[in-house]
Amino acid sequence: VLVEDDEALAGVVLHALGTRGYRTRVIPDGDEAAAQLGGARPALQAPLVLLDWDLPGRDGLTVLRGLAADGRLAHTAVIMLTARASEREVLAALDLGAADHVAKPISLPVLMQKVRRALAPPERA
Amino acid sequence: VSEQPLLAGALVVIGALLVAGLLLTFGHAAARAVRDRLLAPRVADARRAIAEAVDTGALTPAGAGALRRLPFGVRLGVFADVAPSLRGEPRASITRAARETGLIAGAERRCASRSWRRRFRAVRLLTVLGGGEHAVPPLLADPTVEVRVQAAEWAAEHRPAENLDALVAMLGDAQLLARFTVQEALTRVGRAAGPALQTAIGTAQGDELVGALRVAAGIAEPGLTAAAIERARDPDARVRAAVADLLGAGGGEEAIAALQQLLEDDDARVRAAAAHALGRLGHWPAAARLAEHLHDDEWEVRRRSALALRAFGPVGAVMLRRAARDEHSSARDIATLALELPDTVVSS
Repeated sequence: VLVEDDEALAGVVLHALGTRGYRTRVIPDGDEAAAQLGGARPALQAPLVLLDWDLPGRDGLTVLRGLAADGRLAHTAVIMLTARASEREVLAALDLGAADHVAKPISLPVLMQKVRRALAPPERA
Repeated sequence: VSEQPLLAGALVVIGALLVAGLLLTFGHAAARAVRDRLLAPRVADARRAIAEAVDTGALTPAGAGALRRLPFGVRLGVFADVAPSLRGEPRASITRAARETGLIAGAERRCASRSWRRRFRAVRLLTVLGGGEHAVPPLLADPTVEVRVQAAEWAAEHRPAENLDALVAMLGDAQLLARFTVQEALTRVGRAAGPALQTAIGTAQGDELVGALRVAAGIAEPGLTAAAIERARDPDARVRAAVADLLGAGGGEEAIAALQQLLEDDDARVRAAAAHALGRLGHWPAAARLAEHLHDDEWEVRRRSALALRAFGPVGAVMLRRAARDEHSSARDIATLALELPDTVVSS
């Protein structure tokens, strides 16, 4: 799931994910993301959420905090997309349980690599 | 009684004008909405073409066709929407796609448009995507401030070396927006701007000189200290205060000697800047003179002096504790305030 209000960027990322065989869904604002992805029985269950920081409605960090409180991060990896977030805010997101973050302007190959790694099955010892 | 028909006539005219205005406004909005709706499928095709180009590194012939079919202004918007969010090879792919579909050549032509909005949008696109080596530099002297500012952003991003003198000259621009943007742009250029700044510090006056000194303080280029000291007796107090800021960023024996003179300046802004600079440099031998300035008539000078003393550590703390028992309440108050401040405030 891509939570991103920038239609142009969303189009590019969705295309890149689509051509690599991922099934995708886009949510353009924070409130809808919290409603769809949060709660004990979320309407939308996704193994990976790419979560923009600056969103209309709830911001990305608040959405992430909600997902963490609902225990969703055990089933869903979250990669934050940050444009103006400070180092402290990025650390706060990682402390809450975000799997990774990618700074905007984004490098598409780096983002795809992080998506691939986040969705890879865990290695067995 | 004869005034009534006149009043009625005026009301009719006003009513007609109002209706015409409303019709024009709503008509324009409706026309735009219809146009956007008609163009929506073509815009979606164009966005898909760009997404493909970003992903694969090249435009397909069909994608190039989809982009060329869009009106120029809409095509420009499609590229301008997506390019700032990407970097690296994907950004380079977008630039190639823009070149292939004639967008960069078109934007360069629009730099000569009579409409400032067109010139502005064209330079903004060229700032993001590159190009415009011949078309943009003349716009650093554009009559519209928004265009000048965008051209400065372009120059700092793409061709700083060739445009440094023009950028430094813009530090004296009549518009605050332009002065501020150019200061920020030159700070990003960094040490490469040193020679042009040195010339400006030696020869410029007023806003341009103040701006050059501020940028020089931001990039902390040691070679500019000597040039700044030469302007420490400038008749403009803003210049002397900016000199003090720059000297506080660099340091050195000559800088400290000049700062001690500026600490006795007639203008309070200059004294405050000098006190701040001495605190920044941690020049504790100036503690006794700074302690005298805890009695200054101006609150900002007393505040800066107290903070500088606090920054000196134990030496300054002794002076502040002594001042906290001073017979003059102004010195007593500021010394007590400085002693009570947390360390984090002092270091910032």
